[in-house]
Amino acid sequence: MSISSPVAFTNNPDELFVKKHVKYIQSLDTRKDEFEYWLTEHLRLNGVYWGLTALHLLNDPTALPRDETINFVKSCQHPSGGFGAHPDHDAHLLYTLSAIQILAMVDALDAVDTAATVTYVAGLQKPSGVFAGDEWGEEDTRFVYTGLQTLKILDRLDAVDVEKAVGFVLACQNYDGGFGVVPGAESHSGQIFTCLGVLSLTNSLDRLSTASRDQLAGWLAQRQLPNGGLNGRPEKLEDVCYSWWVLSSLAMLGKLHWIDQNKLVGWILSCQDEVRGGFADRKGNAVDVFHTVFALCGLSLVGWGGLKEVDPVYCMPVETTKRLFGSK
Amino acid sequence: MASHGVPRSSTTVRTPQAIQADLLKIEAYNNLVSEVQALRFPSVQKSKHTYSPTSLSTTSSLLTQNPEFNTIWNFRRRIVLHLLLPTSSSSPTLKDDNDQENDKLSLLSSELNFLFPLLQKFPKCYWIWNYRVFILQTASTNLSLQTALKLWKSEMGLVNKMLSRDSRNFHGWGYRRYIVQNIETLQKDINKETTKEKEEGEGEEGVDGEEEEESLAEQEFAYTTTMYGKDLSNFSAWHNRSKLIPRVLSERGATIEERRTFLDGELGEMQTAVYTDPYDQSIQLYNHWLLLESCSSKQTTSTSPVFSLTNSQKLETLSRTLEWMRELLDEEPDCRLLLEEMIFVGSLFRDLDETEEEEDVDREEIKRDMQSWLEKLMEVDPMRGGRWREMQEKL
Ligand SMILES: [Zn+2]
Repeated sequence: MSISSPVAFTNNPDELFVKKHVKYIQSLDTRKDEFEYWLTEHLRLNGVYWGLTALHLLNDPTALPRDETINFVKSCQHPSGGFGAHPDHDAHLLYTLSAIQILAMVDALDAVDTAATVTYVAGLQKPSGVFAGDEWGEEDTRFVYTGLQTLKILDRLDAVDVEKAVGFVLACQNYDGGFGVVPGAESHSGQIFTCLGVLSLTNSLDRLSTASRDQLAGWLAQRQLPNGGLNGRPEKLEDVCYSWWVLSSLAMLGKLHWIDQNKLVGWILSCQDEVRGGFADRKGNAVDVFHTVFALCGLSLVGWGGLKEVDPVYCMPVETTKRLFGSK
Repeated sequence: MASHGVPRSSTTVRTPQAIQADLLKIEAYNNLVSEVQALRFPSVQKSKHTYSPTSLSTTSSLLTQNPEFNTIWNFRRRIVLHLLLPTSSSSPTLKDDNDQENDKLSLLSSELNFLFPLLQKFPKCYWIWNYRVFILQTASTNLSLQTALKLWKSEMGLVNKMLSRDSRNFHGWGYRRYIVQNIETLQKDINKETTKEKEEGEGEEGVDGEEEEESLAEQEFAYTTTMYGKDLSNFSAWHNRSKLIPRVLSERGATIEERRTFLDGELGEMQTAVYTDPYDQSIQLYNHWLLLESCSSKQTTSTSPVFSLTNSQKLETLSRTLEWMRELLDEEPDCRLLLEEMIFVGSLFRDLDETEEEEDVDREEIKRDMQSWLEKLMEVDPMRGGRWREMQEKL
């Protein structure tokens, strides 16, 4: 993983409101008198992962109580081994990865039946190499990433056909260097992140030619708009979450220096709610934990002082991935 | 928890009345959730109600309020599958096949109708699209091929409507390709059956109708023309066009010469389009594809090339392209996209073998030009300076 050296932010007077962001994340589970809280139950487990990752990067990993976190994750596991977003919700790969990431971060993987999880994930791989999100069979390059990362954390990549999974991802590459949801689909930054993630965590990035990697990095660099923010596709608006998909992808390709990091930092910081904490998709909009974690990941990736280092492949603190996989 | 485009409210505290109103809303919502969850996990004596039409309508109320609740969509799938079973018929006498088919069709059609307003209201919700696909797939496996085909075909109307409202909707374009694929597969199966029946001589003539064209490639290709005609800046349309062209040309049985004519036509369109808006990335990316596919020095070994140009035809195409780009650059000297594309064309040119007819082309001159375009790029596009510097070192 080549990440270029941190930039100096001397000409950037903006401030990161660390304490407010910690408080904001802590407040998320106390908002039961807000309708939104109940409407988003289907994201609860992901929310814990987003919040916890943010707190780790903010250097305050114990701001959420560890035991409660572990117990909640346990309560979401199904006999099949998969996880739902909340007790009484169906299992899906998206939640299963979040569950395993949370446990990896708090070093408690033995709290759940991980052997069953391996069986669950392996059972979702299709003959083409792609993974279905759940028993109902939606196929998407996102699920190849979520499936493989789960198994990689559990050190059980051997449970699936990695070569076929990589082959499927490669078949989703377009002439512009980017990747889509399935073969033939338009390139999209979110999908590029997951596909490069698959290639990185299986050590197969070199399956892309130098020319196609440069083409892709060029496409990604084009995502930066004059205000410094990044969009997800040509001719779309900038968005904090896309900043992460684009930035982590550039990091995986070793081309972070192909965009203006100073300008990006200034733009991300402008999306903070400096009164109540948290980040929004764009300046002036309502904040949420999803954009908060991806804003912090982005800042961390370009070396913002005081933040813990994030791993662009796994979207977890480098401390965690080092503990799991050793230093590369 | 993951909101897009929601303005931040200026007030930090809600009024007591507002909190009270929210609490009432929450209570009503949670009662509904409990009701549905009780149906999903029934006590033994009530279990026969789990998969009933009443359950279906209870989930409708909940999903209309919260279509992101994917677990409830899954429950709805189970109800529908259960209602499609022949044993679920209340009358003990077996209905005839036709009635059964009609019952199934009306159930599946009413599911599709239920989804339509939801998709209009929440066009970016993955779970609604997934559920819709599930209903259509269920139609394919539960109804006759002809009836299923009708359902799939009427989806084209929906997707046209979605894409005319938001011509870049990611789900919309993906859904469109998926629908097309399924219509083609079903039509192929129907044609196979018709042929078989004819061969077996069971020909009650005209019963199953004529065989229809299996491929929709031409129709879809024409659709991309319509879409970029409305808005040149529609990358989704250009993308789809690039994916369709290889199929269209091979289905037309195009000769090498016809392919070249086709290419010239597309490149001509691009010249006009780039002149219209040299700052548009969508157009540049499609132009990029055309040139990469036709003028690259590397021959694709695995698949047959879409445009088989000779080396000198490639050189000619590239210098023609550079010529008009140079003219445009005189008018738009600061256009970074144009500069980038010219460097790309220049490098394609320099990768090709030299030919004998190539007297008036000076490779050194192109190299010098590329250096000056890079200098210019570093000046007008400092944001991506890291990239341009790296290119300069490699040149
Ligand atoms: Zn976003």
